[in-house]
Amino acid sequence: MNHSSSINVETKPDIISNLPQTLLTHILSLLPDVDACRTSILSKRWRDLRMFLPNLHLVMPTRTREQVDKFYDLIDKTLAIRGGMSIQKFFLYYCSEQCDYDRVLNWLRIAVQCKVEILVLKFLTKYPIHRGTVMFCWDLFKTCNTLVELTLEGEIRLNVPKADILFPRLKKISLIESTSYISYESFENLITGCPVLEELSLQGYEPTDNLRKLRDPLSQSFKRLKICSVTRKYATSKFDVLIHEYRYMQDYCIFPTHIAAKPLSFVEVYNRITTGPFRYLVSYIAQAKILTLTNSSLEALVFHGLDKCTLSNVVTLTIDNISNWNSLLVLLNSVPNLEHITFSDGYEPTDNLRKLRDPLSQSFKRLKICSVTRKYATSKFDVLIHEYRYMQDYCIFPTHIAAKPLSFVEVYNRITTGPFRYLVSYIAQAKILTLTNSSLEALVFHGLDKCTLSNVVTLTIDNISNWNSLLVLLNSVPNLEHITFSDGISHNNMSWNPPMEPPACLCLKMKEIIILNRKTVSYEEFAFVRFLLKLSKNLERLRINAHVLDRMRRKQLLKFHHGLCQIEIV
Amino acid sequence: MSTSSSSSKKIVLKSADNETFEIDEIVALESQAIKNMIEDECADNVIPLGNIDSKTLSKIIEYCKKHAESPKKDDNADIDEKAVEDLKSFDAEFAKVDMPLIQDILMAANFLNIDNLIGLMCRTIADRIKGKTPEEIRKILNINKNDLLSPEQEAKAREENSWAFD
Repeated sequence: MNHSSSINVETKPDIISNLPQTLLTHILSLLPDVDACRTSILSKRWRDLRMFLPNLHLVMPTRTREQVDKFYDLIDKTLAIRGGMSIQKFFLYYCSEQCDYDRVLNWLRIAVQCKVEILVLKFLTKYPIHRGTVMFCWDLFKTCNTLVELTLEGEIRLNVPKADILFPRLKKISLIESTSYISYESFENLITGCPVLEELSLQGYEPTDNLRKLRDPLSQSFKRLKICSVTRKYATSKFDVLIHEYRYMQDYCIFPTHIAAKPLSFVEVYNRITTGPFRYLVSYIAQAKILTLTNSSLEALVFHGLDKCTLSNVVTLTIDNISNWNSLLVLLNSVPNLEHITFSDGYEPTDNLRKLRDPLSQSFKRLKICSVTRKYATSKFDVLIHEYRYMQDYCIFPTHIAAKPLSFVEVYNRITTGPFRYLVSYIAQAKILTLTNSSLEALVFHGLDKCTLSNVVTLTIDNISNWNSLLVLLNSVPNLEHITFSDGISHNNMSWNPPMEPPACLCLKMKEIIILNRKTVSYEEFAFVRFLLKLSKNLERLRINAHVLDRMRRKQLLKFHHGLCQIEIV
Repeated sequence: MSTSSSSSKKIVLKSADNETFEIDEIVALESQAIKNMIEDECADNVIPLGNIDSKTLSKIIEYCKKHAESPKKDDNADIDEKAVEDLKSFDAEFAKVDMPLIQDILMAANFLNIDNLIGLMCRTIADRIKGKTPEEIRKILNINKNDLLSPEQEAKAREENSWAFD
């Protein structure tokens, strides 16, 4: 491969440089700005291509006066050559040394004319005397219907004038390390000047009490407030007040994904707050449909009276882990309409969790517990899942629960220990049942022969160690239509003796038999298949997968052919 | 749908090395250029593509077949998601060819005006030169050595974009 391509280097013509400019700029526009910029030294053809990219990424050099002058000339030239070509993103990194602000203003004017969508201005200065001296040209954007994203970073003075509209279509503002000079009035003016603002992101920002007044000016379209890198000092005092006032809460970052209508309410709350005015917090959480908590924020909620609350909107809950079972019980009691819980950070069930059964609501559909260790899987976990009325191997996924009383449509059972008298009654509700050999044996041991699982239509089983257990099972599922043996029928050569009274499901209901074998069909299995075929009058399809199957048996199998049955041997 | 009616109609493409490819019209319509030719009724039974060799052309036909088969975006949303995934993995496999062929395909796709394929090839090229040094990129793309900048020109270009080279 390497060899052949090195030959190509010598013999193949330079196709790429002969491509039309639109294709080359298309390629460049897919590269990160730094890579795109570096292609300017590839060859003559590539020299000025980046001038024609939809993204203009401009970084002012800082070394000499001469360099700065050249930079200005180059940008002027670039903008002139492009003419009216639209600018998607205009990125300018400039600094106070030898900055020609009038020319920068002129570029911004051109960017607006060229329908700029994203504007990033990064202004840095080394000299304290220059801090906050760069003004931003607010008036320029009042009629700009293309700008949707604005980032102002660094020492830019944010003295925002009062106006009905500053940015008619702006959806996202990020203020990075630039808010130290903003007054409350400016903040208010900025936010009221953006009628369709969805996201406000503040980095390096120390909230002050002033910001509490901001709640009202936020537009209806507002969806997200992110506040990053607030110092911990504030996080524990003013910040909590702030986020309370905003009715948004999260740990240093605030992400309500959608806000319905006034009064502001959340669909999603991600809460890692552990201190603050919790009596408000609880009332805001009550609005959420999706709730994510950490152990410590749960503890804080419980401490502040979660037991007296009902969070009736919460449908989905995620929690990292639990340090106190009572807190979890309080939480589960407070969410009557919960449908999904995820324990996101590994979970070791203990006997305590057995107490959880009662608080679980009728609407509860799914409990997922991930990364349970095997140790628990064989003892406490089984108890737990029994108590939950859900069962599955290490993870719990009843796909659908019909109605009161709780019932399953699908049960995947590999449990071999536990209180089986309950287990059987839950399995009875299932339409689709999957068993392992050992869970079948456990069921038989606990009295499967006295049960009728009348809902079961589809059954999957890995293999059989005992023909009698299989007969007990088949006798208990009168309505069975499909059976799959997922790992051959039997691995030990027990002799097959047909029962006096054949299972009813075979004679009346059975439509499909699938046998997935690993190797060949043994004599005993063969005898059993013959028995199945003989009895199953309504059978439509028999499929046998076997790697090695001698011709005689194959022929004999095909001889059983009767009625409408289709026999496939793979 | 439309497939059944148009699948009967065939179009023959002829490559630069005189190999012919008979394809369903619906596959050929992935190319905006051929579509225009057919609509303007200036396409004979055989469309000669004098600047595309048979290796490139068969790759392009493979691409168009797959994309013509898969359901379009406005169809049922359920099918959509699976089909989109399927198409994505097809595209990823399709792009695993050497750079000269990619460039040939891009050139031909541009000529035939197949938007998705142009995008795929541009993305592939961009992915392969991302984070590489200019010297490596010249090698990967096989840029003509006679076309290099003079040392003075290169120094100037580096200076203009000094932030990217530091």
